[in-house]
Amino acid sequence: MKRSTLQAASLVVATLVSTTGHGQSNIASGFDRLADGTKIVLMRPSVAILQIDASGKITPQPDWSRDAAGHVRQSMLARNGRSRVQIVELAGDDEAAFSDLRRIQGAVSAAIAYHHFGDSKERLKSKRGQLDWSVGPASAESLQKTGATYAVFIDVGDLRPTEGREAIAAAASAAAGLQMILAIVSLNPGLAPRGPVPSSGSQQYARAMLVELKSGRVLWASLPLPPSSYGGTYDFRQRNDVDDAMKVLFDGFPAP
Amino acid sequence: MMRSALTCALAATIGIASCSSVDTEKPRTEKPRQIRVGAITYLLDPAYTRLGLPQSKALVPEASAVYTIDGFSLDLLTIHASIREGRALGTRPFSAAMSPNEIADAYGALLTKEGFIGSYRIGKIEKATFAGAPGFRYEFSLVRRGLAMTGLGYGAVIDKKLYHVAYLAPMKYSFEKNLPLAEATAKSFQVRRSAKESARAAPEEELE
Repeated sequence: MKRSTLQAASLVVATLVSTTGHGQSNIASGFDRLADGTKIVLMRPSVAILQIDASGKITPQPDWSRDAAGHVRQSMLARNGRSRVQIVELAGDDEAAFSDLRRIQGAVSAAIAYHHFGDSKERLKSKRGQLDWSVGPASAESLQKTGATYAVFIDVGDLRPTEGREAIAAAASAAAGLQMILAIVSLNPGLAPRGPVPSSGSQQYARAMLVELKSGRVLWASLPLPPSSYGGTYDFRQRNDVDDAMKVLFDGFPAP
Repeated sequence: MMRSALTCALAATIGIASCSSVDTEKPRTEKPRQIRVGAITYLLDPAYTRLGLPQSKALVPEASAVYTIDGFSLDLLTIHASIREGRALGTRPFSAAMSPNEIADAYGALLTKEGFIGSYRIGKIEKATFAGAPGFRYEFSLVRRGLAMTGLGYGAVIDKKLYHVAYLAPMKYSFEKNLPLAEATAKSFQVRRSAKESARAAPEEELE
Protein backbone atom coordinates (compact mmCIF):
# COMPACT_ATOMS: atom_id res chain seq x y z
CA MET A 1 0.00 0.00 0.00
CA LYS A 2 1.33 3.39 -0.92
CA ARG A 3 2.61 5.62 1.83
CA SER A 4 0.36 8.48 0.74
CA THR A 5 -2.69 6.21 0.97
CA LEU A 6 -1.67 5.15 4.44
CA GLN A 7 -1.17 8.74 5.47
CA ALA A 8 -4.55 9.67 4.09
CA ALA A 9 -6.21 6.73 5.76
CA SER A 10 -4.73 7.58 9.12
CA LEU A 11 -5.90 11.13 8.55
CA VAL A 12 -9.48 9.89 8.14
CA VAL A 13 -9.44 8.18 11.51
CA ALA A 14 -7.54 11.00 13.16
CA THR A 15 -10.17 13.39 11.87
CA LEU A 16 -13.05 11.19 12.95
CA VAL A 17 -11.71 10.92 16.45
CA SER A 18 -10.89 14.58 16.58
CA THR A 19 -14.41 15.73 15.88
CA THR A 20 -16.30 13.76 18.49
CA GLY A 21 -16.44 13.31 22.20
CA HIS A 22 -16.29 16.58 24.04
CA GLY A 23 -16.96 16.96 27.72
CA GLN A 24 -13.77 15.28 28.85
CA SER A 25 -11.29 17.23 30.97
CA ASN A 26 -8.25 18.21 28.96
CA ILE A 27 -6.08 18.94 32.00
CA ALA A 28 -4.25 16.31 34.02
CA SER A 29 -5.46 15.64 37.52
CA GLY A 30 -3.67 17.76 40.13
CA PHE A 31 -2.42 20.31 37.64
CA ASP A 32 -3.87 23.79 37.54
CA ARG A 33 -1.82 26.16 35.46
CA LEU A 34 1.72 27.22 34.60
CA ALA A 35 3.66 29.65 36.75
CA ASP A 36 4.53 33.14 35.59
CA GLY A 37 7.59 33.22 33.33
CA THR A 38 7.59 29.46 32.67
CA LYS A 39 9.93 28.48 29.87
CA ILE A 40 8.39 26.14 27.29
CA VAL A 41 10.25 24.48 24.45
CA LEU A 42 8.24 24.40 21.22
CA MET A 43 8.96 21.19 19.36
CA ARG A 44 9.05 21.55 15.59
CA PRO A 45 5.39 21.27 14.48
CA SER A 46 4.57 18.04 12.69
CA VAL A 47 2.47 18.92 9.65
CA ALA A 48 1.39 16.59 6.86
CA ILE A 49 -0.64 18.06 4.03
CA LEU A 50 -1.87 15.72 1.29
CA GLN A 51 -3.99 16.37 -1.75
CA ILE A 52 -6.76 14.20 -3.18
CA ASP A 53 -7.77 14.61 -6.83
CA ALA A 54 -11.00 13.86 -8.67
CA SER A 55 -9.97 10.25 -9.24
CA GLY A 56 -9.20 9.72 -5.56
CA LYS A 57 -5.44 9.73 -6.02
CA ILE A 58 -3.65 11.11 -3.00
CA THR A 59 -0.38 12.97 -3.24
CA PRO A 60 1.77 14.25 -0.35
CA GLN A 61 2.51 17.96 -0.58
CA PRO A 62 5.89 18.47 1.10
CA ASP A 63 6.17 22.12 0.13
CA TRP A 64 2.79 22.96 1.58
CA SER A 65 3.59 20.92 4.67
CA ARG A 66 6.88 22.73 5.20
CA ASP A 67 5.28 26.15 4.71
CA ALA A 68 2.42 25.26 7.05
CA ALA A 69 4.84 24.05 9.72
CA GLY A 70 6.63 27.38 9.38
CA HIS A 71 3.36 29.27 9.83
CA VAL A 72 2.48 27.25 12.93
CA ARG A 73 5.93 27.88 14.38
CA GLN A 74 5.77 31.62 13.69
CA SER A 75 2.27 31.86 15.04
CA MET A 76 3.39 30.22 18.29
CA LEU A 77 6.56 32.31 18.64
CA ALA A 78 4.51 35.46 18.07
CA ARG A 79 2.80 34.69 21.36
CA ASN A 80 6.00 35.50 23.20
CA GLY A 81 5.21 39.17 23.42
CA ARG A 82 1.64 38.59 24.46
CA SER A 83 1.77 35.84 27.04
CA ARG A 84 3.39 35.36 30.44
CA VAL A 85 5.25 32.23 29.36
CA GLN A 86 8.45 32.15 27.35
CA ILE A 87 8.46 29.96 24.25
CA VAL A 88 11.87 28.77 23.05
CA GLU A 89 13.01 26.40 20.30
CA LEU A 90 15.67 23.77 19.98
CA ALA A 91 18.83 24.95 18.30
CA GLY A 92 19.68 23.82 14.79
CA ASP A 93 19.56 20.08 14.23
CA ASP A 94 18.98 19.22 17.89
CA GLU A 95 15.44 18.27 17.01
CA ALA A 96 16.71 15.21 15.15
CA ALA A 97 17.95 13.77 18.43
CA PHE A 98 14.38 13.64 19.62
CA SER A 99 12.84 11.69 16.75
CA ASP A 100 11.93 8.79 19.06
CA LEU A 101 10.27 11.19 21.45
CA ARG A 102 8.31 12.64 18.53
CA ARG A 103 7.07 9.20 17.49
CA ILE A 104 6.15 8.33 21.04
CA GLN A 105 4.34 11.63 21.43
CA GLY A 106 2.49 10.99 18.16
CA ALA A 107 1.23 7.66 19.47
CA VAL A 108 0.23 9.17 22.79
CA SER A 109 -1.56 11.96 20.95
CA ALA A 110 -3.45 9.41 18.82
CA ALA A 111 -4.41 7.43 21.94
CA ILE A 112 -5.69 10.54 23.70
CA ALA A 113 -7.69 11.60 20.65
CA TYR A 114 -9.23 8.17 20.24
CA HIS A 115 -9.78 7.02 23.81
CA HIS A 116 -10.13 10.27 25.75
CA PHE A 117 -11.86 12.64 23.34
CA GLY A 118 -13.35 10.07 20.96
CA ASP A 119 -16.40 7.85 21.29
CA SER A 120 -17.25 7.33 24.96
CA LYS A 121 -17.37 3.56 24.34
CA GLU A 122 -13.62 3.64 23.76
CA ARG A 123 -12.65 5.05 27.18
CA LEU A 124 -9.84 3.20 28.94
CA LYS A 125 -10.44 1.63 32.34
CA SER A 126 -6.89 2.44 33.41
CA LYS A 127 -7.48 6.17 32.95
CA ARG A 128 -10.71 6.44 34.94
CA GLY A 129 -11.81 9.37 32.81
CA GLN A 130 -8.66 11.35 33.57
CA LEU A 131 -6.15 12.81 31.15
CA ASP A 132 -3.49 10.41 32.41
CA TRP A 133 -0.84 9.82 29.79
CA SER A 134 2.89 10.29 29.59
CA VAL A 135 5.56 10.24 26.94
CA GLY A 136 7.92 8.81 29.54
CA PRO A 137 10.40 10.62 31.77
CA ALA A 138 13.41 9.18 30.00
CA SER A 139 12.12 10.47 26.68
CA ALA A 140 11.39 14.00 27.76
CA GLU A 141 14.03 14.62 30.43
CA SER A 142 16.83 15.32 27.98
CA LEU A 143 14.94 18.34 26.69
CA GLN A 144 15.58 20.04 30.01
CA LYS A 145 19.00 21.08 28.73
CA THR A 146 17.14 23.87 26.91
CA GLY A 147 16.39 25.35 30.30
CA ALA A 148 12.72 24.71 29.72
CA THR A 149 10.55 22.80 32.13
CA TYR A 150 7.76 22.01 29.68
CA ALA A 151 7.37 21.20 25.99
CA VAL A 152 4.57 21.90 23.56
CA PHE A 153 3.90 19.51 20.66
CA ILE A 154 1.66 20.36 17.72
CA ASP A 155 0.45 17.85 15.11
CA VAL A 156 -1.52 18.78 12.02
CA GLY A 157 -2.92 16.57 9.28
CA ASP A 158 -4.77 17.95 6.30
CA LEU A 159 -6.20 16.19 3.25
CA ARG A 160 -7.12 18.84 0.71
CA PRO A 161 -9.21 18.27 -2.40
CA THR A 162 -8.06 19.59 -5.75
CA GLU A 163 -10.25 22.21 -7.43
CA GLY A 164 -11.48 19.52 -9.82
CA ARG A 165 -12.58 17.28 -6.96
CA GLU A 166 -14.27 20.16 -5.19
CA ALA A 167 -16.17 21.05 -8.36
CA ILE A 168 -17.39 17.47 -8.79
CA ALA A 169 -18.43 17.28 -5.15
CA ALA A 170 -20.23 20.63 -5.36
CA ALA A 171 -22.06 19.59 -8.54
CA ALA A 172 -23.03 16.23 -7.03
CA SER A 173 -24.22 17.91 -3.86
CA ALA A 174 -26.30 20.43 -5.82
CA ALA A 175 -27.82 17.66 -7.94
CA ALA A 176 -28.64 15.61 -4.84
CA GLY A 177 -30.24 18.67 -3.29
CA LEU A 178 -32.43 19.20 -6.34
CA GLN A 179 -33.40 15.53 -6.36
CA MET A 180 -34.37 15.73 -2.71
CA ILE A 181 -36.50 18.84 -3.28
CA LEU A 182 -38.17 17.08 -6.18
CA ALA A 183 -38.82 14.01 -4.02
CA ILE A 184 -40.38 16.14 -1.27
CA VAL A 185 -42.47 18.30 -3.61
CA SER A 186 -43.75 15.30 -5.54
CA LEU A 187 -44.19 13.22 -2.34
CA ASN A 188 -42.30 10.51 -4.18
CA PRO A 189 -39.43 9.15 -2.07
CA GLY A 190 -38.30 7.14 -5.06
CA LEU A 191 -36.96 10.34 -6.54
CA ALA A 192 -34.65 10.96 -3.57
CA PRO A 193 -30.91 10.57 -4.32
CA ARG A 194 -29.67 7.02 -3.92
CA GLY A 195 -26.39 6.24 -2.24
CA PRO A 196 -23.87 8.59 -0.76
CA VAL A 197 -23.20 11.89 -2.42
CA PRO A 198 -19.54 12.17 -3.40
CA SER A 199 -17.72 14.37 -0.90
CA SER A 200 -14.78 16.65 -1.50
CA GLY A 201 -12.73 14.25 0.62
CA SER A 202 -11.50 17.07 2.80
CA GLN A 203 -10.26 15.86 6.18
CA GLN A 204 -8.34 17.70 8.84
CA TYR A 205 -7.12 17.47 12.39
CA ALA A 206 -4.89 19.54 14.62
CA ARG A 207 -3.75 18.59 18.09
CA ALA A 208 -1.51 20.17 20.70
CA MET A 209 -0.22 18.92 24.02
CA LEU A 210 1.79 20.26 26.94
CA VAL A 211 4.30 17.89 28.51
CA GLU A 212 6.17 18.27 31.78
CA LEU A 213 9.78 17.43 30.95
CA LYS A 214 10.77 16.15 34.38
CA SER A 215 8.07 13.48 34.49
CA GLY A 216 6.99 13.16 30.86
CA ARG A 217 3.38 13.65 31.96
CA VAL A 218 0.90 15.12 29.54
CA LEU A 219 -0.53 18.02 31.54
CA TRP A 220 -2.82 19.48 28.92
CA ALA A 221 -4.17 18.37 25.56
CA SER A 222 -6.10 20.52 23.14
CA LEU A 223 -9.75 19.77 22.59
CA PRO A 224 -10.70 18.52 19.13
CA LEU A 225 -10.41 21.36 16.62
CA PRO A 226 -13.89 22.57 15.63
CA PRO A 227 -14.64 23.88 12.13
CA SER A 228 -13.31 27.32 11.31
CA SER A 229 -15.43 30.41 11.87
CA TYR A 230 -16.73 30.19 8.31
CA GLY A 231 -17.73 26.57 8.79
CA GLY A 232 -15.03 24.87 6.76
CA THR A 233 -11.58 23.54 7.41
CA TYR A 234 -8.57 25.73 8.08
CA ASP A 235 -6.12 26.35 5.28
CA PHE A 236 -2.81 25.77 7.01
CA ARG A 237 -1.00 27.14 3.96
CA GLN A 238 -2.28 30.57 4.94
CA ARG A 239 -0.78 32.34 7.93
CA ASN A 240 -4.07 34.02 8.84
CA ASP A 241 -5.86 30.68 8.98
CA VAL A 242 -3.05 29.21 11.04
CA ASP A 243 -3.32 32.09 13.51
CA ASP A 244 -7.07 31.45 13.77
CA ALA A 245 -6.57 27.71 14.21
CA MET A 246 -3.88 28.17 16.89
CA LYS A 247 -6.12 30.60 18.74
CA VAL A 248 -8.90 28.01 18.86
CA LEU A 249 -6.54 25.12 19.58
CA PHE A 250 -4.91 26.90 22.52
CA ASP A 251 -8.15 28.22 23.93
CA GLY A 252 -8.08 26.94 27.50
CA PHE A 253 -4.30 26.48 27.54
CA PRO A 254 -3.29 26.63 31.21
CA ALA A 255 -1.29 29.85 30.89
CA PRO A 256 -0.48 31.83 34.07
CA MET B 1 -13.67 1.58 -0.04
CA MET B 2 -14.42 3.76 2.98
CA ARG B 3 -14.54 0.72 5.22
CA SER B 4 -11.21 -0.43 3.94
CA ALA B 5 -9.78 3.04 4.35
CA LEU B 6 -10.92 3.14 7.93
CA THR B 7 -9.47 -0.27 8.57
CA CYS B 8 -6.19 0.85 7.11
CA ALA B 9 -6.42 4.03 9.02
CA LEU B 10 -6.68 2.41 12.36
CA ALA B 11 -3.69 0.31 11.69
CA ALA B 12 -1.90 3.28 10.25
CA THR B 13 -2.61 5.37 13.25
CA ILE B 14 -1.38 2.58 15.41
CA GLY B 15 1.77 2.60 13.42
CA ILE B 16 2.27 6.26 14.05
CA ALA B 17 4.45 5.18 16.85
CA SER B 18 4.27 3.82 20.19
CA CYS B 19 4.86 4.23 23.77
CA SER B 20 2.63 4.76 26.55
CA SER B 21 1.41 6.24 29.63
CA VAL B 22 3.58 5.96 32.63
CA ASP B 23 0.99 6.16 35.31
CA THR B 24 3.22 6.78 38.20
CA GLU B 25 3.24 3.74 40.44
CA LYS B 26 -0.39 3.76 41.42
CA PRO B 27 -1.15 1.09 43.95
CA ARG B 28 -3.16 -1.68 42.35
CA THR B 29 -5.83 -2.73 44.73
CA GLU B 30 -8.25 -4.45 42.41
CA LYS B 31 -7.82 -8.14 41.76
CA PRO B 32 -7.52 -9.52 38.24
CA ARG B 33 -10.80 -10.52 36.66
CA GLN B 34 -11.32 -14.01 35.36
CA ILE B 35 -12.42 -13.83 31.75
CA ARG B 36 -14.00 -16.51 29.61
CA VAL B 37 -14.05 -16.24 25.83
CA GLY B 38 -15.58 -19.40 24.41
CA ALA B 39 -13.51 -22.38 25.50
CA ILE B 40 -10.75 -20.42 27.21
CA THR B 41 -10.38 -18.65 30.51
CA TYR B 42 -7.70 -16.29 31.73
CA LEU B 43 -7.01 -13.68 34.36
CA LEU B 44 -6.98 -10.08 33.26
CA ASP B 45 -5.77 -7.09 35.23
CA PRO B 46 -8.52 -4.48 35.67
CA ALA B 47 -6.26 -1.95 33.98
CA TYR B 48 -6.98 -3.59 30.62
CA THR B 49 -9.73 -2.46 28.27
CA ARG B 50 -10.97 -4.68 25.47
CA LEU B 51 -11.03 -2.95 22.11
CA GLY B 52 -14.26 -3.16 20.15
CA LEU B 53 -14.55 -5.59 17.27
CA PRO B 54 -14.07 -3.26 14.31
CA GLN B 55 -10.95 -1.79 15.86
CA SER B 56 -9.43 -5.02 17.08
CA LYS B 57 -10.01 -6.78 13.76
CA ALA B 58 -8.35 -3.91 11.96
CA LEU B 59 -5.36 -3.93 14.26
CA VAL B 60 -4.84 -7.65 14.65
CA PRO B 61 -6.82 -9.75 12.17
CA GLU B 62 -8.33 -13.02 13.38
CA ALA B 63 -7.88 -12.08 17.04
CA SER B 64 -10.39 -13.41 19.57
CA ALA B 65 -9.74 -10.44 21.81
CA VAL B 66 -7.42 -7.44 21.84
CA TYR B 67 -6.74 -5.47 25.01
CA THR B 68 -4.86 -2.30 25.79
CA ILE B 69 -3.91 -0.38 28.91
CA ASP B 70 -2.71 2.92 27.50
CA GLY B 71 -4.28 2.99 24.08
CA PHE B 72 -4.56 1.24 20.74
CA SER B 73 -1.59 3.13 19.38
CA LEU B 74 0.58 2.12 22.34
CA ASP B 75 0.35 -1.33 23.93
CA LEU B 76 -1.60 -4.39 22.77
CA LEU B 77 -2.34 -7.73 24.34
CA THR B 78 -3.74 -10.02 21.66
CA ILE B 79 -5.42 -13.38 22.05
CA HIS B 80 -6.00 -15.93 19.32
CA ALA B 81 -7.98 -18.90 20.53
CA SER B 82 -9.29 -22.12 19.00
CA ILE B 83 -7.76 -21.46 15.59
CA ARG B 84 -8.73 -24.56 13.63
CA GLU B 85 -6.72 -26.23 10.92
CA GLY B 86 -7.23 -24.61 7.56
CA ARG B 87 -8.21 -21.24 8.99
CA ALA B 88 -6.24 -18.36 7.55
CA LEU B 89 -3.41 -17.25 9.76
CA GLY B 90 -1.39 -14.48 8.19
CA THR B 91 -0.30 -15.56 4.74
CA ARG B 92 -1.13 -19.26 5.08
CA PRO B 93 -3.73 -21.56 6.56
CA PHE B 94 -3.05 -22.85 10.04
CA SER B 95 -1.92 -26.45 10.36
CA ALA B 96 -1.44 -28.32 13.62
CA ALA B 97 1.88 -29.51 12.23
CA MET B 98 3.30 -25.98 12.12
CA SER B 99 6.44 -25.45 14.17
CA PRO B 100 6.67 -22.71 16.83
CA ASN B 101 8.83 -20.74 14.42
CA GLU B 102 6.21 -20.99 11.69
CA ILE B 103 3.47 -19.90 14.08
CA ALA B 104 5.56 -16.95 15.24
CA ASP B 105 6.13 -16.10 11.59
CA ALA B 106 2.40 -16.30 10.90
CA TYR B 107 1.69 -13.92 13.78
CA GLY B 108 4.17 -11.49 12.28
CA ALA B 109 2.39 -11.79 8.95
CA LEU B 110 -0.89 -10.96 10.67
CA LEU B 111 0.56 -7.84 12.26
CA THR B 112 2.20 -6.67 9.07
CA LYS B 113 -0.80 -7.54 6.87
CA GLU B 114 -1.88 -3.95 6.44
CA GLY B 115 1.60 -2.76 5.62
CA PHE B 116 2.07 -0.37 8.50
CA ILE B 117 4.60 -2.41 10.39
CA GLY B 118 7.95 -3.56 9.17
CA SER B 119 11.15 -5.29 10.17
CA TYR B 120 9.37 -8.07 12.07
CA ARG B 121 12.02 -10.29 13.61
CA ILE B 122 11.69 -13.32 15.79
CA GLY B 123 14.14 -13.52 18.67
CA LYS B 124 14.61 -16.31 21.16
CA ILE B 125 12.14 -19.21 20.95
CA GLU B 126 11.97 -21.76 23.73
CA LYS B 127 9.74 -24.52 24.99
CA ALA B 128 7.23 -23.42 27.59
CA THR B 129 4.06 -24.67 29.15
CA PHE B 130 1.09 -22.71 27.92
CA ALA B 131 -2.54 -23.31 28.81
CA GLY B 132 -1.43 -26.38 30.71
CA ALA B 133 0.03 -27.96 27.60
CA PRO B 134 3.49 -28.19 26.03
CA GLY B 135 3.93 -25.03 24.03
CA PHE B 136 6.45 -22.32 23.33
CA ARG B 137 7.45 -18.82 24.31
CA TYR B 138 9.13 -16.42 21.90
CA GLU B 139 10.35 -12.86 21.70
CA PHE B 140 9.95 -10.63 18.71
CA SER B 141 10.63 -7.11 17.60
CA LEU B 142 9.32 -4.85 14.89
CA VAL B 143 9.36 -1.25 13.77
CA ARG B 144 6.25 0.86 13.61
CA ARG B 145 6.81 4.06 11.71
CA GLY B 146 10.39 4.18 12.82
CA LEU B 147 9.77 3.36 16.46
CA ALA B 148 11.23 0.18 17.87
CA MET B 149 8.66 -2.12 19.41
CA THR B 150 9.19 -5.35 21.21
CA GLY B 151 6.93 -8.27 21.96
CA LEU B 152 6.49 -11.54 23.73
CA GLY B 153 4.32 -14.42 22.58
CA TYR B 154 3.10 -17.70 24.07
CA GLY B 155 1.48 -20.43 22.03
CA ALA B 156 0.40 -24.05 22.07
CA VAL B 157 -1.47 -26.40 19.76
CA ILE B 158 -4.12 -28.26 21.75
CA ASP B 159 -6.46 -30.77 20.11
CA LYS B 160 -5.23 -29.50 16.73
CA LYS B 161 -6.28 -25.95 17.57
CA LEU B 162 -3.95 -23.03 18.08
CA TYR B 163 -3.99 -20.91 21.22
CA HIS B 164 -1.76 -17.85 21.24
CA VAL B 165 -1.23 -14.78 23.40
CA ALA B 166 1.10 -11.94 22.51
CA TYR B 167 2.06 -8.66 24.08
CA LEU B 168 3.44 -5.77 22.08
CA ALA B 169 4.67 -2.37 23.25
CA PRO B 170 7.37 0.20 22.56
CA MET B 171 10.78 -1.05 23.56
CA LYS B 172 11.62 1.95 25.70
CA TYR B 173 10.15 1.74 29.19
CA SER B 174 6.53 0.97 28.40
CA PHE B 175 7.26 -2.63 27.43
CA GLU B 176 8.77 -3.36 30.82
CA LYS B 177 6.05 -1.42 32.58
CA ASN B 178 3.14 -3.53 31.41
CA LEU B 179 5.05 -6.80 30.95
CA PRO B 180 4.15 -8.32 34.36
CA LEU B 181 0.43 -7.83 33.68
CA ALA B 182 0.71 -9.37 30.22
CA GLU B 183 2.70 -12.34 31.50
CA ALA B 184 0.23 -12.90 34.32
CA THR B 185 -2.54 -13.19 31.74
CA ALA B 186 -0.50 -15.56 29.57
CA LYS B 187 0.35 -17.78 32.53
CA SER B 188 -3.27 -17.95 33.69
CA PHE B 189 -4.51 -19.16 30.30
CA GLN B 190 -6.62 -22.32 30.46
CA VAL B 191 -8.46 -24.29 27.79
CA ARG B 192 -11.53 -26.36 28.55
CA ARG B 193 -10.71 -29.28 26.33
CA SER B 194 -14.17 -30.78 26.47
CA ALA B 195 -15.84 -27.58 25.40
CA LYS B 196 -17.43 -27.82 22.01
CA GLU B 197 -17.77 -24.15 21.34
CA SER B 198 -15.20 -22.12 19.52
CA ALA B 199 -13.84 -18.94 21.00
CA ARG B 200 -14.05 -17.24 17.67
CA ALA B 201 -15.88 -13.94 18.04
CA ALA B 202 -17.40 -15.21 21.25
CA PRO B 203 -18.65 -12.60 23.67
CA GLU B 204 -16.43 -11.99 26.64
CA GLU B 205 -17.89 -13.11 29.92
CA GLU B 206 -16.58 -12.14 33.29
CA LEU B 207 -16.56 -14.97 35.81
CA GLU B 208 -16.83 -14.65 39.54
